[in-house]
Amino acid sequence: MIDILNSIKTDSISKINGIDSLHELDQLKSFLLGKKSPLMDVLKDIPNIPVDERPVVGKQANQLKQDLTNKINEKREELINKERDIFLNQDTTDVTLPTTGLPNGSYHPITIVTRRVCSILNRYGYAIKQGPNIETDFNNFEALNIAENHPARDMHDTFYLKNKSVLRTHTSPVQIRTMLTQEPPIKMIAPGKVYRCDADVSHSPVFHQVEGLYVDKHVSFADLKGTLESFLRELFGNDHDIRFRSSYFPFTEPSVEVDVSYTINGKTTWLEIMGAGMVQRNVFRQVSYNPDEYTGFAFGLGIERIAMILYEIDNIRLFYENDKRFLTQF
Amino acid sequence: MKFPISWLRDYISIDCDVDELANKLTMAGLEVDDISYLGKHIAGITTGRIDSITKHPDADKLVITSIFDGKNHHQIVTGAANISEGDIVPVSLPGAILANEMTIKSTKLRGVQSDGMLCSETECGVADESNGIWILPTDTPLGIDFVNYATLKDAVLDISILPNRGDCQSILGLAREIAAITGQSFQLPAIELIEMDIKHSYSVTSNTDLCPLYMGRYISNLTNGKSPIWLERRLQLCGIRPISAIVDITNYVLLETGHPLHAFDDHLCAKKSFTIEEASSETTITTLDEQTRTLDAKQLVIMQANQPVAIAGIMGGKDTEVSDSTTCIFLEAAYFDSTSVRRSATALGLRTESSIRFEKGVPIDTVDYASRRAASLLTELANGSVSKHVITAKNDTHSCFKQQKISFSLDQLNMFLGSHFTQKQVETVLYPLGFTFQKDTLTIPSWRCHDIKEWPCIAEEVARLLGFDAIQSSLPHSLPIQDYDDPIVDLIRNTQDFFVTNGFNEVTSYPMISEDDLCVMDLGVKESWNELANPISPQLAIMRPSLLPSLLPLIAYHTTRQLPNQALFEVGRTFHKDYETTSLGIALSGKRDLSAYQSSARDLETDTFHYLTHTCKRFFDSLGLSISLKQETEKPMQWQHPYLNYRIYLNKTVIGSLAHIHPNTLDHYSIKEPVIYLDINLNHVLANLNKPKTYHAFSRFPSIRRDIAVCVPDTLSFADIMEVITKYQHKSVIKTGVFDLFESQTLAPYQRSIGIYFIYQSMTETLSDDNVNANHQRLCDRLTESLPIQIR
Repeated sequence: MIDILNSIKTDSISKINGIDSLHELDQLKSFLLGKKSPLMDVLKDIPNIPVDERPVVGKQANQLKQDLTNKINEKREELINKERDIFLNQDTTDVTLPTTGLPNGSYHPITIVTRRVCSILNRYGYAIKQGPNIETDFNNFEALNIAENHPARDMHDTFYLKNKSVLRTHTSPVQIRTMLTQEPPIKMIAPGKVYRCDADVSHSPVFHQVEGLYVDKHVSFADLKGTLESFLRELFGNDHDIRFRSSYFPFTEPSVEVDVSYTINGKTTWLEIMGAGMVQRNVFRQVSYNPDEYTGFAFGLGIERIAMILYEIDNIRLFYENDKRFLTQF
Repeated sequence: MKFPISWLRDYISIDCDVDELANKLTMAGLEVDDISYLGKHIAGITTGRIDSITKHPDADKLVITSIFDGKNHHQIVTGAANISEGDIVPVSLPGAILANEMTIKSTKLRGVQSDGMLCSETECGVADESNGIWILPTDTPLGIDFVNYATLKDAVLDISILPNRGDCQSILGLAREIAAITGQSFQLPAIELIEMDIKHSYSVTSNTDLCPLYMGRYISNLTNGKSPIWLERRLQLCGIRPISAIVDITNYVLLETGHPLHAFDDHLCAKKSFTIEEASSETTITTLDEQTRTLDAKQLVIMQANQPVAIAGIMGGKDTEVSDSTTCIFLEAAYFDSTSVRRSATALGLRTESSIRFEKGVPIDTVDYASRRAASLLTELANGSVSKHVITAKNDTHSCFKQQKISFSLDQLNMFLGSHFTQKQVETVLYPLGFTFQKDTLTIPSWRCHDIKEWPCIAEEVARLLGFDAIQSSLPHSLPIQDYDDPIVDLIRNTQDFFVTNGFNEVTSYPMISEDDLCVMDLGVKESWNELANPISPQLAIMRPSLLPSLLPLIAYHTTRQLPNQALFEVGRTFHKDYETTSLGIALSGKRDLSAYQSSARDLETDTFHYLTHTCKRFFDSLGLSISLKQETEKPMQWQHPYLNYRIYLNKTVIGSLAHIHPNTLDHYSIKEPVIYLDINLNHVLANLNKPKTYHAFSRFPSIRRDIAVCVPDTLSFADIMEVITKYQHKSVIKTGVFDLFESQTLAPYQRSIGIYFIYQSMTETLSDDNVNANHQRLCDRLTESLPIQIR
């Protein structure tokens, strides 16, 4: 019996090796392992052999069955891979042809910089507020301590509407609107368009500002300094010096301009980045806050100016020309 | 304002270099815009008298002069034609350097020895152009250091004075400021005024609170010639043209003290009684600049009898103007209310050296000081005799005569600034500025009364002079404040993100448009326009009610620059009667996928209208909203294509539109290619965004698909078919769509074939074919009954 099994093995393995299609392999499988196969005949014949030989023959026959099954499976895998390779090799698609699909869109640089500024301040706890572009004289000037014949009105070349409203000259009126509707503590920023009628090479009649306001008990100038220093370091990086320079705004006192040192073409200069200061007591009176109870600071910055510095843009008009060759660079 | 360093040095010693001083001033709030160094290289120029002029033997245009410098004679050859014997002129001897950096050497001119050069004003660096040699006054000393004498070498600071610092609009004011910054002591010029018993008949009355103090000095025996060189030079360095001694001296005192003065020619003052009053309507006056001006009521004027002779604090009248022949003057020094002068100057559109000072407020006690300073200079430099009978109109009860005091607390200041300044530090900066302490009370100097009102102003003075660097930064240590972003902010961000991700380019335009834009598109009636009263151009005159007039010019801009295929969007404000909205506008022109080159892909590209509609739907999907679209053929907007348009509805509100732009509108912007425009009112969208999202159960049972192909006349819209389908389809239809569109003459003419699929699915069971078939057949029957269509 053992001899028969050995000859079945030799014969089967050479048959399996000789196969080169899946179809033939299936046929061969039923020939070798099917009910009428020589191996099955051996297994069926086991009850007829002497008792002491049965375990040996049975074990060997079963082992052979297992081996052949494995061998066939291996062969099957080999044939599948071979066929797949042939199929894949037949694909002549030229992957190097030009790509197709929609072009990328682009954010306007004003949007990018506004978002960057707002996301930093948002994280510091400042809520984003909005206000109308057409404002009342009260919100834009009067409430901000700029009375009708105040010389500071010279600092604002104002567009008036025929109905005596104004196009806001700064985002500061959003401060007033917020303080008129909410009680302290207040932490807010207001990004948006502002308007001045002094267009020339370095000025645009429309530009963008972000305004910030923090009102609470015991807010100090040192807090303003610390807040703006952290903010500017996040915006421009740690390797810039920051200085606070005395200035004047009717709605803050003390007022400062904040300059950041910047190296352009190897030359380091101070760039004026922000205006800021402690909220003027008259502003609090205008919104019915008690100036003896609360103090606060306010700050503002020009988005175009920051964008021009960050992206090395030399002409403010590029922002409003909206040339696609400009827009798609950001 | 321009500040010559040499002039400042009269009152304060400056021991740092000019750049350092400029930096300190800038940090303290006096921003130095520019420093100009005059006569940087100039050296060795002296003065000499021309003793003789003889002809050059070999040159017609040259002469040989003999110049005496007080010690020696020098032979100098010159080509100048404006010189005469006896003239005193600037002379540069060998070794001297001119303004243009040329060094003078001895030389021979056409064979004649020349040991130097006679100088023009240009060569001395005081004028850009000059006509011949600078002829100096006859009393100019000989052989002097002319560079110093005529201030040919100086540094001039140009400082922009902030609106609250009127007190620094003068040389003395800035000198005082420098004293506080540098710690040097400051010296007011001493005035030695000799007054005489000269009788005159002048009288002054002030009829208004706006002029609480008016002083007039009568000065006679004047010789109104040229001013001395040093005075002329100082005016020039400050940008004021020298005219004659009297005028120059009033200007000099204005620059020095910051207090404007005015001189009336006594002989031209017919009546000697002045009144200061608010103009009655229809007052006209011809001012020094020879303009006839009509004053409105409330503008302050100086009247002589019933004639206006000056607009108070702004400009004098032509009729009483000082001239070369003036020998007697009435010198006005007064205090005019700052607001009144500003209102007046604004109304007249006239800003003068005088008005810009009164506007920011002058101190009351400089009135007399400036008057006496000018009188003493007029005595010294123009031979004047000053009458001791000073005419004064004064309202003693006026608030400006009161000393201003505020209470001061060091603790409060330190808490406010977050600083640790000591009383001593505070005093070292406040004393030089003129503040005085009496325990907890600070007396404010008169020249700061317009600016210092409350204690934070003192904090500002201390901080700016001790330096903001001296305050240690801190961060607010309060708890976070619970507050919300304006909800539109989030929607704007999502909108921008969606369209950028989908390949659109964001633009930012001016929100102002022209009347033409509005009319061409018929964007609302004139009553609803937000028109600017003072536009900078007619192109930017009205606030836009729609983003379309902002976007169309950008499409035109690009197509004329060989940049077709635009997909532009803007999220911006639009303006309506009494309110503003935030809108999304998208303008699409040309193809979307520029890179498509396979024919099948190219075909898809032709249908940008449906592409944009789809993108729009996806946008609302991304917000969790579903819109409905209705074609508007009855009353499309003027700028819309009459058929290729949609109104966009959210629930029952119109929130926008999507349309091809009407060719008439495109023509106006010279656009040749079709443009598709989508606009959405984001405020309306926001109003529908308040519903929180919740989970809906979905079916896990298999679905069954059924397709039909219908032949329809091309006048029947798909929306009509969908209407019937929506009405009659079984509730188990979960999705319907088009899988094929076929138009060909092989069908019946003007017919198209549309392939529509239906997906049937139940929430509760696996549907059987029989069940679906019955429902589907019923729908097909309804379709053919209701519409002129055939199912193929």
